[in-house]
Amino acid sequence: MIKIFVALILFGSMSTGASVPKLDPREEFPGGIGTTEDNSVQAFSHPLSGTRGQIRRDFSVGNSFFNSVWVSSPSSTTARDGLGPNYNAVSCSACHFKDGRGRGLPEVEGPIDISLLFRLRVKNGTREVIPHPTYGGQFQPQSIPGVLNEGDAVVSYKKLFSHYADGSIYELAQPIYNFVRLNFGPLGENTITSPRVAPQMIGLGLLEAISEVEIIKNEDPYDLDGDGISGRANRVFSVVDQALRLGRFGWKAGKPSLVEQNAAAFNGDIGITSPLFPAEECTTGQADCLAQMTTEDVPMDRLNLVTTYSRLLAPPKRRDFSSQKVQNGRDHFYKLGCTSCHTPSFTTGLSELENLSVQKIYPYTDLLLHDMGDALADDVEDYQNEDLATTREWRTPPLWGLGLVQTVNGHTRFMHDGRARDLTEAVLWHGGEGQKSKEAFTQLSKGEREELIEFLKSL
Amino acid sequence: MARIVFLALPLIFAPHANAQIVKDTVKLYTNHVHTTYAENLHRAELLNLALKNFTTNPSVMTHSVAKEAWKFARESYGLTEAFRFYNGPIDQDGGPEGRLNGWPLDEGYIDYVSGNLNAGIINNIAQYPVIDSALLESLNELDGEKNISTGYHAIEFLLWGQDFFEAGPGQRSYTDYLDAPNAERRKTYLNVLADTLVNDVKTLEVAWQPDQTNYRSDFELLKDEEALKKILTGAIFLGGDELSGERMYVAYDTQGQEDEQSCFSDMTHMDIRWNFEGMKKVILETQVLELPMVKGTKISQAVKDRLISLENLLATIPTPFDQAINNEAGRAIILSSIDELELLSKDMVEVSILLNAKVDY
Repeated sequence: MIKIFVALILFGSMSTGASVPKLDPREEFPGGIGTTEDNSVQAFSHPLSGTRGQIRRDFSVGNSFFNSVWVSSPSSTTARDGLGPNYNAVSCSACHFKDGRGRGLPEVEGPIDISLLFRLRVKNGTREVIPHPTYGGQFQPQSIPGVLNEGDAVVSYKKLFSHYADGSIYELAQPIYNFVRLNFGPLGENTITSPRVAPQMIGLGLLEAISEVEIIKNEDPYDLDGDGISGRANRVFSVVDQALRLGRFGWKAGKPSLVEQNAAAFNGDIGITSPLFPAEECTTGQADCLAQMTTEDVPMDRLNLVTTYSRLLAPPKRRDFSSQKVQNGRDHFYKLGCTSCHTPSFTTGLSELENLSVQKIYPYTDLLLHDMGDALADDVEDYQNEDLATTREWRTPPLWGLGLVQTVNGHTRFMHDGRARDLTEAVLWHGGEGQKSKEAFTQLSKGEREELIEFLKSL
Repeated sequence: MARIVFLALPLIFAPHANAQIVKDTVKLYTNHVHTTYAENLHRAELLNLALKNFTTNPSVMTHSVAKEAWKFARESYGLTEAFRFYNGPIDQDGGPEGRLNGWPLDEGYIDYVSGNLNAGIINNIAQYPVIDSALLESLNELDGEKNISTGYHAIEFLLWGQDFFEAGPGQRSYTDYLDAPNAERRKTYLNVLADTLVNDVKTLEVAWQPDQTNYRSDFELLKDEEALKKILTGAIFLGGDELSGERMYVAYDTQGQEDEQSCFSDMTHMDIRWNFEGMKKVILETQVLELPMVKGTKISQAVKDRLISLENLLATIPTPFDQAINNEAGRAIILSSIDELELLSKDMVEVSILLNAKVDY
């Protein structure tokens, strides 16, 4: 009896966060009935199970355009030309390799990985920002023949040291970005450079199928419940609806739907125009770029096929989901308060597709914006950066598939630019609204920290 | 009393009898996989010899022999593709699938193309002074899934060249290996590819050798349902996604030559038939349809009927495939074939359910 009593007190003292719900067998299938059982290098590349008929065929065609290498116009492969004039990559899969996640950063200082891009904003006196007047809204290091490229981005690292409560020391590598070989002059002191890495593509259609009401009800912009977490939704202009909509996709929730996210990525990253984004971004300072703009590189029907593709990519089944170690890790995840932003589960709304419709899913995101602190902020000053999202705010990324990134993409780099070299570092980079949970993590014993990481790997 | 005993007997013995037969099916499968890879290895070695011979003495004759050797090797590889999609030796983490059969490929990543005579690794001496296996393997799929530098289709491109001809395949001349710019580097490239190919196929053959501690021995120890699930997964995904979708429907939909699989040699119609043959062999040679839970069912008969009708249908796809996707008769046959392949995979999912080994297709 006494032993049990002691155990209860210990247990109670650890509970800084939410109470831990009983393990639900459905958690093993994070994508609901469409969850794929493949955990191989192809784990992120399958359509939701049960996808049949024409839509599975459309998925195949979308896949082929996702992998397609775009070339400059005019060419013999007219279905796949219109690259640039400026661009970051020649295909979607260059950065989302095998529908997975880019590494973002190199191991040692030098050129950044192709999968990392930068949004450029210039501050003005009124706490507002505009796209860079010379380089545009996105830094594009590559260009087609006859067009002057913008320049290159390189990284160096500053080592940061700190320690866990048990005295052991850890090291983080803070990236410091430099823009070199700039062909249109310096970026200027008032420029905000916001790095973004290509995330894994799985489960996007399920996230799109969550009803707006379900997302908004987790908003707490003034932190009325006093838990230190004040999630808020981004509201962005939809070019399809020509109205403000809930922002859902992208590192700052800057796009309201998959079709707009895809069209924007085609446009900004590859220089491919579509009916939704009919012009490439060449500024008045970039004469040769302006001279080589192309229109309607991808027609609406093809864009829709790529969107079908991105909508159907399935989250993988969890591995090792019920082992004691993973279950203990799950307990820590709840008790540290991680679930305040990484909302474990949603039920999707009605959809015309059975495997997207009314599915209990486990994405571990609230799809809301959170202040993530100084170290992760785009700038030392707090500016509005992408619609409502500020320089300090990031959308909680979904955690499904985390443990398979190594298998699919051969690395374990995480966070918005890949600065975390493994999952432990990803936890340790959390600040701002995540500071309390991060500190609680550092209070855990080595064994408990490993259990938490085992849980993340099982996702 | 007597009645009850009679009824109970089959119930007691049935599971044991089933278990024995599933083990037989697994054994038939592992034997079949090994035999197929052994033949694949043999033919890869013949291809290697033919390519060495061609690059040593480039001529119309040696070039033609090399192309025939590629087709012969390609047939045996097509049969093995039904062993993919379940994280086996071919496509597990670190497996050679991407190196062997990367497709579609961007020709300009490897060698010159129409409109850019300086394109590709072969002509980029400054960046790649030495062509060796380490270089080519490191460049395969670098910065994009179409950046293919190795495998059957890279060899195919280096033998045939780009296909600009309605009636037939690409017309690369053997003089590309004689007195053309960077001929020596092209030779080296081709030979390195052949060596890499043989080494990769060898690892597969070794993984499935009998009486060894290897992937095969682990496979034979799997629970019945797990082994059956892997066996069926390979056939279902090859027919229902890879073949019907990526290799046929995409080309059907875009009507683009760049979307046919063996676009340089115009052998796509045979790729399709060889892949189908590979699936058929897995289904029939393992006798999976004769297992007690499936034997005599309507679904097993439907699968058998469909295998026959598909074999006949695929043989009627007009050649070359890049023309068939653009004419009415060809398109009708291709679309029916896609329909049938998808239905076959759906039927096979039903079979997997009967076997308590449901495939999540």
